Amino acid sequence: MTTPMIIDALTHISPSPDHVIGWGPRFLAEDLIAQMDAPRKVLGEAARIDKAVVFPALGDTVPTSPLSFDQQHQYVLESVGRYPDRLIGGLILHARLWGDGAEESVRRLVRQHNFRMFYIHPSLHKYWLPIKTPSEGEGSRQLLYPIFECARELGIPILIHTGEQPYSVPATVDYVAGQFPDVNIIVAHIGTQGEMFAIESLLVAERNPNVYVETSFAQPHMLIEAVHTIGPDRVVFGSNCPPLEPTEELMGVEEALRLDPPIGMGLPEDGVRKVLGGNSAGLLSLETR
Amino acid sequence: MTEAIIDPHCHIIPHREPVWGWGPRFTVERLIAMMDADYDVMGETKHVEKAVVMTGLGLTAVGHRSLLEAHQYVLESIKKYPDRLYLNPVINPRAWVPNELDLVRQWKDQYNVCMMKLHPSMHNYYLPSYGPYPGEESKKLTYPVFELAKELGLPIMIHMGESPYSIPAQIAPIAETFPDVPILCAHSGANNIPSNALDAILLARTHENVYLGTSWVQMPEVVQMYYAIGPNKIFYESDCSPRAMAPSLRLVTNLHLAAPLGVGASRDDVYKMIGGNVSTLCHIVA
Repeated sequence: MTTPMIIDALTHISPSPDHVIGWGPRFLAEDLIAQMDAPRKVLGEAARIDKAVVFPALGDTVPTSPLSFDQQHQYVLESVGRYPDRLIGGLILHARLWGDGAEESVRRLVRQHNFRMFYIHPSLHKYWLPIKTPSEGEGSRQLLYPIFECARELGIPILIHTGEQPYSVPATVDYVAGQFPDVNIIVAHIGTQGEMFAIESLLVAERNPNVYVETSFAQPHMLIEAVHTIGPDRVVFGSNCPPLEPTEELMGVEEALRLDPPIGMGLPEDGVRKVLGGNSAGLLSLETR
Repeated sequence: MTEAIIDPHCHIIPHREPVWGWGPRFTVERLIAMMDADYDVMGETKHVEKAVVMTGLGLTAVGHRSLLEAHQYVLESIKKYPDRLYLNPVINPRAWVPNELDLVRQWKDQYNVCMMKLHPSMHNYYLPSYGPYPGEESKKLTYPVFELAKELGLPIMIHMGESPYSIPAQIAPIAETFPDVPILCAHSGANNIPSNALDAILLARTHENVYLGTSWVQMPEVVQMYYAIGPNKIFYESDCSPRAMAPSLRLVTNLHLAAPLGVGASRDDVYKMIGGNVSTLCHIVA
């Protein structure tokens, strides 16, 4: 029997520094592959990370970036071409660029180059997720609904950054998740990057079967709470490498889920395997490809 | 310099923790097993040689126990493993200051006392403020603990990580009043608010006697910490249990990696952070 894949749902590569998030001087596709192949044991066996969803540097996508959407994704495009069996392209969608030609590029990258995930970042790109106050809500719907409609048409999940005030509070995912029940949404970091919104993330996921949570930055007790709240089928491993190191992130997930209480929750191995890769394989439609 | 790994932040309890709720237990034997597990430290297999243990915090907050009753299991455990374990008595100032503090003086040599712990959130008090309210009341609660620490040459570890009692900047006034008492800022303020670590970094940068612990801190803030205050003021801590030691240790040893994952810290500097600094501050010979 073959060992199920480990899939990292959130990584970045860039040949230059990320001047906004702050890491550098570069993190090449080869650096990422080296991290994926670093010596480590997972569930008692030597294990590499089989595949990673790879996004450009977030800093290249800010509203003041001089780069076009295609330029922002050029290095990722070249890299997935070099490592098609290991890297899966991800698209960071600055919603304000959607009408400036990004939509056409998105469709091309998905259909011709197998890009498989959207990533939106309300904090970085400065908008509210759709809320019910008419003016703010309407502006947000105009920005984001075309992206969600495109994701639905292409069968692509949307990763949403969460973890700080005011734009990236996970409770605000609830409304759009209900409006697009057939679009899979991944709440990045379980809402815990700068502040701790894990419980809010899980309330949203509990209410919306199309909502998943991603593990990077999340503390062990919140990973445990996640699986107790929504089960192991909608929790996906992500490292957020760089700046985080995949082995440390894998250790954190494995120990939180696998070890006996109070360190972990004693989840059986098949549940851990789902979190480490099985769930992402489904979200990325890898099983049927 | 020592290349021993010292974990200065552990908790053991023979039953469910009554406030945090974790359980069913975390015995000293399980802690020792975790210390003896294999850890990859910069390419070498290492073990955690010494640990500083605290009781389950809830025992100090609810149930009206005496200082002795709250520490019974920890004291027995240190008697069993005197070469591996050191004691960090958790002081509830509302319950035990000043009447029971003398016990710490008695325990110092008998039970390897190497620091004392304050937990403003668990015990519901503000650290002394610059203003009179709640400053004066807080001084009555906390100054006796600091005076004892000064007398015994012990550092004080202070929990930090949430509003309203445990925001790192609140340490500043008492750090200035007792400049010769080293203060170990547990979790660097990141326990429940990760970005509070930036506040702790400023505190440590401006207060010579403040040191920063790494449990619950996220890697971007650990990197900032390294550049802001250097390896001599950072200490690895796991908060085991409920945290595991492996990822907590890896977080700090990853500083050895080149950017952007680490900062290229030297092997010596990493060993300072995972044992050397605590060895010096707490007089732990390893």
